[in-house]
Amino acid sequence: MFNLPFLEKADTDINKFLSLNINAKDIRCLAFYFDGESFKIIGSGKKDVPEGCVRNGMIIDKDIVCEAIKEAVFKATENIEDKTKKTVVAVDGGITLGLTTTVRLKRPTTGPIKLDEVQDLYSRIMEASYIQAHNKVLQNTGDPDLELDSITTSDIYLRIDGQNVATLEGQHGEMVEAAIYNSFAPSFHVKSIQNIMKRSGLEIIALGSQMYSVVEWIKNPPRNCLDFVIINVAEDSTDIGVVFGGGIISSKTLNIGYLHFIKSVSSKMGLSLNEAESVLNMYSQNKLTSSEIPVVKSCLEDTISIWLDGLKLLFEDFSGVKTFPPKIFLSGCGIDIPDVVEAVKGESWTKTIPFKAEPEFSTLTFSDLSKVVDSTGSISTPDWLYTAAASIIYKEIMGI
Amino acid sequence: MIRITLQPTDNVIETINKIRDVKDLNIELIIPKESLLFENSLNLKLIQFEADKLEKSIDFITNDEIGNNLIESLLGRGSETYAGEETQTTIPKEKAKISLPRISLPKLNIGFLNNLKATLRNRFGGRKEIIIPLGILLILLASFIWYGLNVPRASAKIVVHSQPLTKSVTVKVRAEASTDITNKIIRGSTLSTTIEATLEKDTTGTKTVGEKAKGKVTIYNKTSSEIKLDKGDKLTYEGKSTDLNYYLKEDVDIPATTSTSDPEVNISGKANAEITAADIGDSYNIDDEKTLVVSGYKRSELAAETDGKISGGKSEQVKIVAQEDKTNISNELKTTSTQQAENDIKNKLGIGQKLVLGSTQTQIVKESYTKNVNDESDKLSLTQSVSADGLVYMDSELNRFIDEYVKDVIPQNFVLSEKDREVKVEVLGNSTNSVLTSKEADIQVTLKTFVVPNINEDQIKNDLKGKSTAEAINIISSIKNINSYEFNLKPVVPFFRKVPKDINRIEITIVKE
Repeated sequence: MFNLPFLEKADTDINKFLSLNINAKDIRCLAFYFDGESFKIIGSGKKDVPEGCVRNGMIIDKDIVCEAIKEAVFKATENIEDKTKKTVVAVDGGITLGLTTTVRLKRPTTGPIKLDEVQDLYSRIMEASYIQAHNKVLQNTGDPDLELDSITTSDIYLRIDGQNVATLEGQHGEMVEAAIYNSFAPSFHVKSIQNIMKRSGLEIIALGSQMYSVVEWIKNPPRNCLDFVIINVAEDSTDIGVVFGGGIISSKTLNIGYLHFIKSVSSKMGLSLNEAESVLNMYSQNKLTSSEIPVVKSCLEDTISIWLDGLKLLFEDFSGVKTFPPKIFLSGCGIDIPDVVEAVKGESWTKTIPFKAEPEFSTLTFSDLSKVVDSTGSISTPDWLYTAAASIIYKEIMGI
Repeated sequence: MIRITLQPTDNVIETINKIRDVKDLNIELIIPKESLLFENSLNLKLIQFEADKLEKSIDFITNDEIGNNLIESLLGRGSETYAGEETQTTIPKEKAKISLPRISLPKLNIGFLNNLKATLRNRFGGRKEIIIPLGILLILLASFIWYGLNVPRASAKIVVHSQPLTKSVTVKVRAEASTDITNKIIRGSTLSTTIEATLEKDTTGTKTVGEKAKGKVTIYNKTSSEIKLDKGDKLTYEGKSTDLNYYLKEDVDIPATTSTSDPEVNISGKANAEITAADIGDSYNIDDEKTLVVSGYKRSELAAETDGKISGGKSEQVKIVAQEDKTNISNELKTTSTQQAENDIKNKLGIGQKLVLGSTQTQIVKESYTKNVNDESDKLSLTQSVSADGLVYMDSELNRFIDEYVKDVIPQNFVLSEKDREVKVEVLGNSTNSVLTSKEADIQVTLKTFVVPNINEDQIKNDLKGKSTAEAINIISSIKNINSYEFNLKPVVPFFRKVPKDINRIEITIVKE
C-alpha cells in the first residue's frame, strides 16, 4: 500500500477529515489532510447512483445512497492508514436556500456592547432570517408546512459607526450594522442526512451549503472578489447565487442541470443514459468526428434554449435585487459542455436583466481554491470543485 | 383544445417537449399529485413562458393541494397570501436595549476608503499637513473624473418625413387554417371550456289532491227477484246542487222482497255495502239516512240509504312541476352559462391570444333536474353542463398578416411606425356576407399608422457611443430620409467631450413631420 509521508503520524488524525457530496448523479468523497496552511486531498472516491435515487439534493432511496456512500468513502480512504470518520457534508444547492440579513440599529448609549446585547441581536437576526427564508420557500414550493433548519451561519461584516470590526462585544459605538449569512435546508432533509451518515458509520462534523463554501474561496486570493454572481450548473439543477460585499444575498434554483442535457442526447439519439453521457463527454472534449458533432449539437439545442429561458426567469425572480453585479462565475459539471457556456455568454443579458454592465463570464477552476492541493494528482476536473470547496467549512468549524 | 396528462416523474424539459409536440394551440395540462413540477414554482413559470413563446395557451389542472397553491400564485390570484421580501419581514417588538429599525440589503462597500487612508498613512508617516490637502485633491480629482465619465448625456432629435397610412381589410379567422394573405385568412383556433352550473326556481304548476269520502249504505231490493250488484256499480246522491256519484267497493247480492200473509205488506230485501266517492273533496261528505239512487234501477226497484255518515272527503291545491318550468329553467341557465363560458374562455387566453367576440357557441351536454314533470314540489333545481367553443387568434398572427398585406405600399428604406400603430378589429357578425361561429368569423381589420424612414435607434446609439461631437453629427447627418436633426451633449465637461459609451445615456428621439 502506498502511503503519503504526512499520513504516517497517528497524532495528525485531528487534521484529517472527509468531504462528502451527495448529488443526483453520484456520491463523491474526498479525504483531506490540513497541514495548518493548506488542505491536501489525500484520497478520492466516487460511486454513481441510479437515476431517481437523489433528486434536487433530496435523498429518495436511502439504501442505495447509503451503500454508495460506503463505497465512495472506502475508495477515498483505502490508502490512508488512520482512517477518519469526521465528515463535512456539502448540501446540494437545489435544496438549500441562502440569504444575507442585514440589520442596522441605533443604540441608546455609546457604552461598551455587552454579551447579552450581542446575543439578543443575533437571536433577532436569526428570527428575521428564518421568516425571510420561510417566505421564500413558500413562494418556491407552495408548501406552508415545510420546516427549515439553519445549516450555515456566517458573519459577512460587523460595523460600528461605519467601521468594520471583528466582533461586537466590548466595542463602543452608537450605530451597529451586522450582515449575517444563513443557509437553510428542509428539516426532513437534514434528518435524512444525519440518519444516513449514522448508517454509513460516519460522523458529521458540519453540514454546509455548497454555494457558501465556493463563495468563501472566491472572496480569497486569487479572485479577491466581493460582488459577483455565481451560476452552478449542477447535476440536476442550476443554482444562482447573488453576492454583494462577500455575502450571498440570495440564491435560487432552476430544476434543469447536466442530467437533463444527457437525457436530451439519450432520447434524441436513442442511447442509454450511460452511452449518452459518454457521447456528451467526447463531444465536450472535441473527440467526435465532424459529422457527429452537428448531431449532438442539434440534440442539445432545444434543451439549452429552455435552460437559458429558465435562467432568465430565475434572474427575474430575484425580486430583492435592484441591479446585479456584472462579474459572473460559471461552475459545475454542466459547464463542461461548450454549448452551455457559449449560450450563456452569447445572451444579451442587459436587455432584460438589470446588470450594472454587460456581464463578464469566467469559469471557476481548481486554481480558485488557492489553499487546496491535490496530492493524488487525479482530481482536477470542475465536477470535483464543490466537493473540494467544502474544506473551508471544516476550517471554520474547527477554528483553525 | 387538447389534453396532455403528465406522469408524476415528467420533468420540466419533458413537459415542455410534450407541449411542443402537439399541434393544438390550446392545451389542458393535467399534472398528477406529487409531480416533480411542484418541487419548484419556477417549473410552472418556465412552462408558461415556453408556451407563450410557442403562442399556445396552457390551462394547468391538478388535484395536488400544494400544486394548486403554486398555480394560483403563478396566475397571480393567491399571491396576497404570501409574505413579501425583506421589507415585509416582521420582527418581534423590542424587549431590551436594541431596536431594529429595518432590515435591508447591504449597500456600498466603503472598505477602499479605509485602505486608501492606511496607504497614505504609511507613505507619509501620518503627517496631517500633507495628507489632508493631498487627500482633498485626490478626492476632487476622482470626483471630477467620475463626473466626466458618468454624468454627461447625449441626445439626438431626428426629424423625419412621415406619411399617414390607413388600410382596412375584411379578414376571415378560421380555426385550424393556415394564414393566407392571398385569400385573406388568418389562422385561428378553437378554445373550449365546460361549465357546470346550478339554478333553482319556484314551480308554477298546480294540482288538487285529497281524500275520497267513504261510508256504508244499506241497499233495499223492492223487487221479487234477487239483484246482484258488481263492484264499481254507481250510486248517486241527488240531494245537492250537483249530483254526487259513489261506487260500490265490493260485489253485493240483495235478496228479493219477501211476501207476507198480508198482500199489502212486503218486506224489501236488503244488504249492506261500502261505497267510495267518485272524486276527492269534502262535498262528497253526506249525512246519515240519505237516499241514493242505484244506477240502472228505478227508485221503486232498488234504493240505498246511508248507514251513518259518508265522510273523510277532503281536497287541497298543491304546487307541481310543469313542463314549462323545465323549459324555462333550462333556457335561463343556458344564458348564464354562456356568459360564464365566455368569461372562462377569456381567462384561458394565453398571452397574445384574442377571442373573437360573439363567437362563443354553447351546447348543453348534460342536464340533471331534481324533479320530474307533475312531481309535487315548490322548487325545481337544474344542474346543467354546458360545453362552449370560442374562436381565438394570435395578435402576433394578425400583425404579421397586416404587415405582409401592406408591405407593397411601403417605399424602400421606410417602415411602419410602431409607436403610432393602431390596429382596430371589428367583428362583422352573422349576415348574408359574413359569418360568426366558433370555427370561422369575418372581421374588419383597420390599420392606422405612419410610414417613417427605417431608422434603427439601437444601431445609431451603438454607432454614436464613444464618438466626438463632430463624428456624431456626421453619423446622424448621413442617415437617409431625414429632414433635420439636433445633437446635444450635456453638461459639457472639459476633457470629456465624447458621446458616453454607456448607451443608456444616449437618447434618440425620432420626431415625425
